[in-house]
Amino acid sequence: MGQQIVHRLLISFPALLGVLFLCFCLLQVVPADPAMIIAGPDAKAETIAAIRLELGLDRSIPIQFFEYILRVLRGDLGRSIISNREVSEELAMTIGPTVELMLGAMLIAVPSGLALGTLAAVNRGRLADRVIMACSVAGVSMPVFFIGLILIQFVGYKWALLPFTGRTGPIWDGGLPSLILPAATLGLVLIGPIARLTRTAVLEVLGADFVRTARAKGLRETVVIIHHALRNAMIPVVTLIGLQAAFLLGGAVVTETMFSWPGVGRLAVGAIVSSDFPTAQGAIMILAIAFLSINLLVDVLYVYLDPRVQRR
Amino acid sequence: MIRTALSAALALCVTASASAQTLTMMKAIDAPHYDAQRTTWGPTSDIVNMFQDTLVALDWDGRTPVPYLAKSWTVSPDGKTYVFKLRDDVSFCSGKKFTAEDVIYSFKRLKDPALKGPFAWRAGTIKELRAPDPYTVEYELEEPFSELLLQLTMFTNVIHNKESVETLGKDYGIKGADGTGPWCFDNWQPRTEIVLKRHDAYKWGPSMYKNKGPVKFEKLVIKIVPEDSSRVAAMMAGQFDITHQFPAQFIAQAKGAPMLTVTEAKPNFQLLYFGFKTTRPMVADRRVREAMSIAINRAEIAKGILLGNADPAFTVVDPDALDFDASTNGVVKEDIERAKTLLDEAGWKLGSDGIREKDGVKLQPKVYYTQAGNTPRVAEAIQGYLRRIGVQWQLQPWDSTIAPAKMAEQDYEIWSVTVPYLSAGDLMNIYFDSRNIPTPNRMNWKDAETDEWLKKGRSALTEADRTKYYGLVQQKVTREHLWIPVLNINMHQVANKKIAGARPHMIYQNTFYKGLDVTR
Repeated sequence: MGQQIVHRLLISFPALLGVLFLCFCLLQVVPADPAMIIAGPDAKAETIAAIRLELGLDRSIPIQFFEYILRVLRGDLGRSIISNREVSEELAMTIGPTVELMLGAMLIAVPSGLALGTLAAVNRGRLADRVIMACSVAGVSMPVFFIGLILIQFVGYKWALLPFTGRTGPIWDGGLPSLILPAATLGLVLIGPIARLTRTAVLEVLGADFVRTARAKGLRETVVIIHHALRNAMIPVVTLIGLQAAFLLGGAVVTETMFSWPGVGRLAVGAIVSSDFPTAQGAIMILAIAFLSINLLVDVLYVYLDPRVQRR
Repeated sequence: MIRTALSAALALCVTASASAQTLTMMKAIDAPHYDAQRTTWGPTSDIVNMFQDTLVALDWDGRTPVPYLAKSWTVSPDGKTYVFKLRDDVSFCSGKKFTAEDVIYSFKRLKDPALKGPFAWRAGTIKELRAPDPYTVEYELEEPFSELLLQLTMFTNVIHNKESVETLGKDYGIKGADGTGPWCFDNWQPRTEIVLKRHDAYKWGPSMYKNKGPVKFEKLVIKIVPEDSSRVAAMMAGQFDITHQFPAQFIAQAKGAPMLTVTEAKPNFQLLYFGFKTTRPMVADRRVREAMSIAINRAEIAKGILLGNADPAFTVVDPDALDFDASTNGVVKEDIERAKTLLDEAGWKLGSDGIREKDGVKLQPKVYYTQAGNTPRVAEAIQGYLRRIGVQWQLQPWDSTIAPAKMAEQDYEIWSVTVPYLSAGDLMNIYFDSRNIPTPNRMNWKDAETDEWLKKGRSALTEADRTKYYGLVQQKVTREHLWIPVLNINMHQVANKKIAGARPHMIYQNTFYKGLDVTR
């Protein structure tokens, strides 16, 4: 197992470098000029030209990339060319809220999705199954902003139960109420796919010999379902959860915007559209590392769920 | 048990009192930084005006400079030397006393080529700054600048503390910035919130405010809420006290909401216009430009798109602005038949597809604008009006971060911007001076007469002369139809009914200004 982790880590490094280089090149294609953004809309041409020169934007892309990589290897992610703030500081400010949001959403989505999917599988063809699957399809089909708006309109505004404009602090420092609505928005979107996949996987397993054997041994049905069926059905579900978790780290931009949540997604998108290369690269690097780490974690979980994976 | 209940009650009282001492505000977008000398961005100006001060303040009428850090001033007969007498009771948030040295440092920094201050011109062409004593500044110009006092009210010209600038270095305006304003910079989390705290020593509020200081709240928390519907719901739910960025389409709803007060900033000089790049053959002919300008229905656009939150603009300068030239009224007369005649006279004949053409070229100008605010819908409406006269606008919206770069490429006939300004002279000097080609003079308008009048307006020694020359420029650019003035955009402040004394100021868009009279 340890060897497998080391191997995965080794192949992750060139992947990370490749991601960074591709993103660096793609950012050059965006026709925005950070010098113009820094100077503002009414700045004169000579002012803009002077800022470009100072930022080193007149140099070739390979040179700019090479210098960037050298700095990163020294642990220096540079400064935002828009705000002049240290990129590492910008990232430090946004990673916490992003992880909070991701964990909050998963905390809502994973248990609910697993429970509903299993319930639907066990009650296959019955009313409960149909209702759960209809709700899942509705959940999958509804755009995230729609769910967010509904929650804001009712829970935030009409019933005034929870705040919905920004993070009020870390969850251990009074920030929990502000986390609930954005996490619920993302969580509700994820329940559907997890429930559907869980249902399919559990249905497959329910017909397997070992489940029949467990029943024949006289085990209670809940034990059969949870310990025997669900655990063996988890591999595709864990893959999906891993992918969704990784996606949530950087792809929750709409939710972050709606709820003014200061996450990495908003930081990355803002940096990309304003050609703030150091910030965009820093955010992308963090997201790539998170993606690779989650994939690694999923691989480890495979082994836990099904020891045959390691033997293979 | 009783002790626990009492503790809980006390905690609740403390929390309630803390929130009563905090004023909460919402903004739609954050600024890249809060160093006023390094940018032209409105989102920077709004906050900077809260924690830093200028030598002179701008009165509510939007045209009268009133004493602020400078308690009085005199101007030499040649208009080149201003002597400012400074207040001797002013201190920075850090506790440092404010003196003439701070004024001299601030303007020297602004004019330092290394800083690349895009609005440095607003301080005039400074020849020398002298401090004969700690509370007197002699401000000598290379040439007279008739609008200097007005321009000194702008956020670019706020006074900085040298120690703060030098200590913070590259983090100045990011991690902090010292100022003499009624609020002090506390902390900033980009794209999330900026927190200002009360400047307890502040007592030098300008004459326009009843309260000379300090402000009535301990803290001012400004949250960035980019989503329109979230801002509307948050104000309606009472989660915030005040915002100047309430979506225009919901203003009517806010006016009807029992818990909200809507106040319009009056006056407010903010023009949505479409400009013609006169060096492009398709729009080089004045008749073509005029035809497009008079073929639209501004009143319908104001009512239908802005839902009454804008006034039709028939002149380049707002009639309430300083040095507005009344003779420009009536130059733009909406008349679709005349528009068609003008295009016929200019040689653009209707083609079989309903689009005019000349020498094999279709009258299909490329129109660039920013995909934000009201401009896209206004552009689409104008596109519809112009089809009736055989003109087909090719609309090309750009993201706001890309728009300046695309506009700098010069590959278009028409563009649109919504511009805030201080006065006729301010607007004319920025946009019509040939020295500002290609940006912000995107018309590429190079006219010796215009340049000469602008120069004379700038160096005028009397109000009458300044008004005269800026009037001449307005007449010329209006007659030439270099712009299609479309709408004078209204600005609204939406506040919770519990908030009193909040009056929106017109200076440079969406501004709370000093907020000295605001109470709960």
